Formats: sequence, structure tokens, C-alpha cells
Amino acid sequence: MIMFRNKNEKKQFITIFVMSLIFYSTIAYILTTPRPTEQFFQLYVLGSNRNFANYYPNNTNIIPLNTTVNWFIGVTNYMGSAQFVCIKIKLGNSTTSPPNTTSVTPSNLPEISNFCSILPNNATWEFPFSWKIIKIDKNIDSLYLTLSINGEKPVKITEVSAKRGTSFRIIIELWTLDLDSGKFIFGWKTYDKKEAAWTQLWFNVTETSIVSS
Amino acid sequence: MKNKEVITSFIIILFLGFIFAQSYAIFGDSSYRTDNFANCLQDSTTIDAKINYTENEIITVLRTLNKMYQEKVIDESSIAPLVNKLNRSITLLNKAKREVFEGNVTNANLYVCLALNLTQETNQEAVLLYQSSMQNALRQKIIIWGMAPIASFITTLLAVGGYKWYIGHERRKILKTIISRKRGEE
Repeated sequence: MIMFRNKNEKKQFITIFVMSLIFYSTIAYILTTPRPTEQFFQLYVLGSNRNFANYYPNNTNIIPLNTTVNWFIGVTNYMGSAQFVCIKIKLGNSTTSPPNTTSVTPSNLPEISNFCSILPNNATWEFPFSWKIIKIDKNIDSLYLTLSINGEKPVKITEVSAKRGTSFRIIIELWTLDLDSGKFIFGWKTYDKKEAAWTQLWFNVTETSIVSS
Repeated sequence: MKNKEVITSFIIILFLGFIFAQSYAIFGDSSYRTDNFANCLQDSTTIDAKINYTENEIITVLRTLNKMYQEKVIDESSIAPLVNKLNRSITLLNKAKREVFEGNVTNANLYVCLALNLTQETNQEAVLLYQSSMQNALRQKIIIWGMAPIASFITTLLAVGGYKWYIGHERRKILKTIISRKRGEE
């Protein structure tokens, strides 16, 4: 039982109590309220030795026929939640339009492969991406490729060619599952904004490769 | 007398809050299916429908996991096995899709049922984890919020008591000085 000698003492007690209640409630609010964090993904491609080098065999970006190119694709999730991520691999050339990060639109190139996984927050998913040119078809001076990815069935890409085999590019796009619509979207949604991540690696094919086939 | 009433009502409010939190955690969200592998294999539904259903189940699990992230009640170590299981389901689903593409319906059915079974198992585990995590988080919240008035009360008592002691101490000091001065004059 608290005894007060006079009204003044009672007032003093109530004032201090209210003030400290405000102070401790603020602390409780800070401790129990989740704070918004920056949401993003990290997408990268590593060379055959799992570092930012040795992307091409013999250190040249002219890829011979039936020569395996070993890369590692990695994604790190900093979204503050678990994410269903898909990496779409596309083949393009110097004239095809790449993805646009400003308008967040993917490239309209044919998808040659995709890799999907669920990633918890702060987790990195790194997987091997090995590919080789199985066949090269020539039409006038354009070269068309048939690729084998991770030892799977070869994929013939008829939509994309390169003049004399120069400036092919492998485009790697990051797609995520939008839980609101239940559909995969290019990039990801962060609060009310849309962001995207993609990368590309260029390579050439020479007509001598056809001869060797 | 009035103070006694205030303290009593505080305790009652805290108690009611605790009861509400417990009941929410127990009855909050307990709807999950328990289809089994054998039923799935014999089910005459098309493979595509089963694949769609499994994909939706995966999305449901992901939503449950993300609810825990939103509420900041996630335990990273306990979520990892669930994510591994979901990834295994995705691999099985991909195999099923490949088998469908190659025309092997029996194999596709087997893979999709394995995926569905694994996803439903994961779903159940995710719901249980969500419930227990929410319960723990609510308990923690109640303790933190409940501590605010208690800490305020203790702080007030210490501040008022300390101030009283300080005033008394200063008064005694002044009195002692006056007394010693008077004695000196005598």
C-alpha cells in the first residue's frame, strides 16, 4: 500500500509513473514491432573454379563444338522472407533486346532451360550450369545452335542465330513467385515497387567449328 | 485505496490478455488436409490436375512460412528442413513433368504423388511450427508489454523513494550544520 503525505506527493508519483510508462512502452513497441528492411536479391555467375574468372575454356570466348563450359549460377535472398526463385536461361545475340530493369520486362527470347528452388531468407543457392554446343547449323551466313545443358537432352534453338557466329549471349534472368497472384514474375516485388536482376555472358562460335563436327 | 484498485485492474487486464493470446495460438489456424500417398496413386484425377494441386500446396506452405517471417517469429534452424523438403517436392514435380512430356504416365503419377505426399507432410509441419512460433512470440510480446507498467512502477517507487531520502539527507545535513554552529556560538 502506497501512502502519500500530501496531494503534491501523489501528483509527483503519478507524473513520474506516466512518464516512465511512456518511456517503457516505447521500448516495448520498438522491441515487438518488425522494422522494414531493404529487400533485394543478388544474382551472380562464377567461372569453372567458382570465382570471377575462367568463364571460358582455354581463356577464349570462342567456344568449340562439344566443349563443355562450366559456370556456377548463384542467387542470394535478402527479401526478409522465403522465396520461390526460378532462374531462366535464354539465348540471344547482339541484335535481340535484353531484359529491361527500368520497365522490369524480361527479354522475349526463347527459354532454353530453367532452374527453380525455394530459398529461405539470407540463404544462397549456387548450382552448376554446364553447357556445350552439340551441333551448329548454317543458313546463308547465320549460325544456329543446338545446346546441351547439364547433360540433358539437347535443345535446338531455331529462333536465334548470329551472323558468322559472332556475339551470341546467354542471358540469365531471375524470376520469383508472386504469392498474391500465384504466378512467376520477372524480378521481384518489394513493397509497392518492382525490381529485376539479370546478367549475360557473351560467346562466339566460328565456322571452323562446323568443319570439326 | 484507489491505487490498490488500479493495480488490481492492471493484473486482471494482463491475465485476460494472456488467456486471449493462448486461445488464439491454439485455435487460430488449424486447417490442413491429410491426403495420403495410396489414395493419390489410385485417384483417377489427371496428372496435370495433380501437378497443379501440388504446386498450390507448395504455395500454401510458402505462405505459412512467410507469415512467420512477417511476424518475426521465425526460427531459421527449424525452417531449413521444411525448405529442404519443399525443394525435394519441386524436384519430384519436375521429374513428373518430364515423364508426362515423354509419355510415361505411370512414372509421372508416381512422382507427382510422392511430391504431393511430401508437400502435405511439410504443410502439416509448417502449420504446427507456425502455431508454436506464434504462441512463443505472443508470450514474449505479453511479457515485454507486461513489463512496461511493472518497470514504470518500480522506477517511480525508486525515484520517489530516492528523492525523499535525498531531501531527508539534505535536511539532516543542514540541521547538523545549524546545531554545530549554535553549539559553537554557545
